This record gives sequence, structure tokens and C-alpha cells, in this order.
Amino acid sequence: MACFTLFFAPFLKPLPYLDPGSGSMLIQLILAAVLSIGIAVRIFWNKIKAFLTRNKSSASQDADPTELPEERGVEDSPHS
Amino acid sequence: MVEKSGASFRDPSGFIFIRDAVVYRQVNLAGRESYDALMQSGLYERLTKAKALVSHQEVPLTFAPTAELAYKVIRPEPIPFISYPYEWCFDQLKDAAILTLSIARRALEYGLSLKDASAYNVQFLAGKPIFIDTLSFEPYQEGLPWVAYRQFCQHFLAPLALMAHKDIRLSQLLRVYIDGIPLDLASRLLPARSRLNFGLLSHIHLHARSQQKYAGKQVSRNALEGKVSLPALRGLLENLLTTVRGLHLRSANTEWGNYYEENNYTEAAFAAKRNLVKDYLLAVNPRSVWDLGANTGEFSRAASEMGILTAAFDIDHSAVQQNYRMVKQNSEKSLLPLWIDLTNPSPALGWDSRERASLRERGPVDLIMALALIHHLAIANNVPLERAAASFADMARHLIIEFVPKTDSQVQRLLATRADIFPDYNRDGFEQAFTRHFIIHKAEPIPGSQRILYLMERRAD
Repeated sequence: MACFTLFFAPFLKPLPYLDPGSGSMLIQLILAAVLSIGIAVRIFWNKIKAFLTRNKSSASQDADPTELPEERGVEDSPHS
Repeated sequence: MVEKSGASFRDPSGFIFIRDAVVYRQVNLAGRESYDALMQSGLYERLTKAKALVSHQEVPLTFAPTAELAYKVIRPEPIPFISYPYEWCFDQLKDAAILTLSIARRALEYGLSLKDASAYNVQFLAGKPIFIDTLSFEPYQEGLPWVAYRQFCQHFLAPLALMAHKDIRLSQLLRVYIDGIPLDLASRLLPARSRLNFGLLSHIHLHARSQQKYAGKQVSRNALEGKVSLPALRGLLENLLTTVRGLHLRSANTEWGNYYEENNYTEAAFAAKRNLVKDYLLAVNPRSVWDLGANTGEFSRAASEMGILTAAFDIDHSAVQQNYRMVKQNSEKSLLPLWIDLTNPSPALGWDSRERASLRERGPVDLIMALALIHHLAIANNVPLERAAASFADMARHLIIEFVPKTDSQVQRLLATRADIFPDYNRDGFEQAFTRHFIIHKAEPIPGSQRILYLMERRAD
């Protein structure tokens, strides 16, 4: 029995309690910093793209399902 | 009679209950602030108008099962058929993910945060995904990270990424993991090249690493406050949206993909079969139909085009995906394609086996259709005919079933690689087995084929 326990000890060791909440919260702090820069670049890039493709309608897969029917087809989002 | 839903117990702000077959939600006093914020901010009006959130009516508090805790009782718009993410095709899961993120983004405009991003909060209504949890919102506190971030990644991003980058069947891990696919597992299963995608690298691989690194460590609220600004939070949601939208299935041919081109039907026989199905449907006039083995929904549409609520099940993912795309393209309101293996249908899952209902528990329906199916069950899967009949009789009162004889080339194909151990698989054997559970009302040969289409009704006993 002692042999058995000894042999399997590494496998019987309880796994550390996982608290994925902390890691999920903390990675957001890093991503938030990176993405704040990213979003500024993106807004700028979208403006260039919108200027270059002014007459082309946007792809339908980018539709926002929370948009009201009367808003569909409007280019600018109401975001500040 | 009042019964609390077995799926609704985690959130102290309220719960679902069923009273006389109508679904209600009690909003507890603990959920008062959140509910009022949703209703008064204008977000409720906005989302329900866009059909992104189920609408509801407030009913008298006397309906409340636990009156001492109740703040309101609401009656949400009914969802005719509850389906689950492990029954959805890739596009359905992707649309549900886009809806969830779009709602989270929109909520911020109204000073609210989406606190729950569970895939089970999305259902399909009138051909489109809709958010069903009215109590998933709370007032937004500037500076805090998104509390539902982990849940979104586990419920949506991980299965979508695995389906797109590894194997479509990995979405079935959602059946095993009720709170979404653990990110360390997703990270291990995804191919190395998925690390080249910024979104997948961040939200799955690094996210999983961060979870492991901080496992067991407590993070105080103070340490998080003020750390994620509103623009940064929007950036996070935008990036998740871009990542989800960037996921696509690699096209692959499957065994059923071109079934209609390779089967035994001439164009005329196909039309004749459709007309016969329609005649039978008209004779029964059901309110709800399940089409078992629906392929891309050609015959399901005979029902749904009459306005009958029809769920179309198939084992082949690409058939379901194609069916769903048609539903979207034609704005079909009465058809719900689902990816279901009838030989191993969705079981009851979750706490006390009551959180997610089995397929059987979500029936019965008025009528089931089993077209070009019986040979797959009886010959490819060895289900005795009598047991198939018993199972169908449990699911519905009426049955439209097609008998495919051994001489049919589709059956010959199934028998080509195995011994014929099915001496009773013939018209007489079929009728004998089925008349134990059903009364045969009609049996019409399908012109231009050797097949027979039956209309049956369950015996009264």
C-alpha cells in the first residue's frame, strides 16, 4: 500500500484551486493598454479606408444586430 | 401549477419559473437596481426594437412564487424551441457571439455593462439570434474590466476558434463543459499558427497563461479600479468582435453536401414527393414540426412555408450550415436548423441534470417527418424497426415517414460493406413494426421511385 501511494504520489497531488477570475481580470489590464493604442490607430485607418472606398457599401457581415432598421446603411457610428 | 426552471438559479437577481405552461421571470429585490437601470436608461427599448433582446410585459406581483423576495414579475416573449450552443452550426454560434458583443458594446452607450456573456443566454427566434436574459445588465462602473470576459472567451471564442482552426466537431466539448471550454484546453488544442492571430493570441493563449499564473491569487477590487478606461473597454470589445468576425470555416465536402444531386430522385419524383408531403401536412395541420434528418431543409420548408414552426435536425454540419444560411438569406421566420445526431441526441445536462433539457424533454411536437431516414437508423445503425417506431411515437402524435426498400440504391450502398442481417427490413416488416404504435392513415408510392410515403397517427392507448 505504501509503495502504491509512493508510486502514484505525483498523480494524486491535488491540483491547485483554479481561480480563473483573477487571471482573466488582470490580462484585461494589459490588453486594455495595448488596445487603447490600437483603437486610436484603427479609427485613423478606418477614416483613410472610408475615404478611399467612399462609394462602396460596407460588407453585410459587419452589420450590428443592435442597430435599428432606420439606422442601417448609416456610415458613422454614434460613438464618441 | 408553478415550477422553477432548473436552469435558473445562479443569479440572485431573479429566476425563471413556469406557471400553467407560460414562462415568467421573477425579478428579486436584489436585482431591482439593475432592472430599473435597464428599463429607464432606454437600452431596453433600443434592444427590443432592434429585436436583439426579448421583450416582456410586467404582470402583477401576485404571480411571484417567492413574494417576499420579489420586486417585479415579467412575462417574456415566448421562445417556441429552446436550443443549445452544442446544437448550433458554426454560423449560428458566430452570430450569437456577434450579438452578445454588440449588446455589450451598445449597453456601454447607455451606462450599463453586460455582466453575463453565457451562450445559453442566446436563443433563436424567427430565424435570428436573440438575447433572452433581461437580468444580465448592471450599471457600468468606469474603470473596471469586463466581468464577463472570461465567460465570453470560454462560451464563444474558444469553440469558434477550435471549429475554424482545428476541427468542426470540437464544438461538442460544450456538452462536456457546461461553462464553456476551459481556455488552457483550447490553447493546447489549437494549432501553433493560431498564435499568429492577434485576437486568438491575446484572448485565448495569453489569457489561458494569465489564468494559470494567477490561479488561486486574489485580486482586490481596488487593484482593478480605474485600470480599464471606457475607451479601452470599448477597444477590448471591438477587438473581440474583429477576432470573431475574422473566424471562418475552411470549406470541406461532406457525405451529404450534394445528397440531392446524387440520390434516387428525378426532378419530377422530387416535386411529387414534396407535393405529397404538403398534402399530408395539410391533412394534419400541425402547429409544430420536427424534421428528423432534414439535410438542407428542402422538405422542412414544405412545413415552414405554411407558417408551421419547424425544427430541422441533421447530423451533417455542412447541411445545417447551408440550411441556416438560406434561413438568413431569405429571412425565413419559421425554420430553425440544428446540428443533432439522432442516434445520440442531446442529453439532459448540468446541475441535477436539469440545467439543459434533453432533446426528448423539449418535445413532444405535433408532427415529425422522417424522410429518407429509416434505412440509416435500421441498417446503418442497427436500430430495430419497432424501437424506431416507439421512439417516434414518444416524440409526436403524427408521423410522416418514408420507407426506402432494400432495392433502392441508397440502401444498396449501405449494405455494400456489410452483411445483410435485416431479414425483416421490407414493406411488410416495416408496417408490422409501425402499426404496433401507429395507425396508418395513408401510404402512397412516390412516383418515379420505389419508395412509399406514409402518414401515421399514434395509437390512443
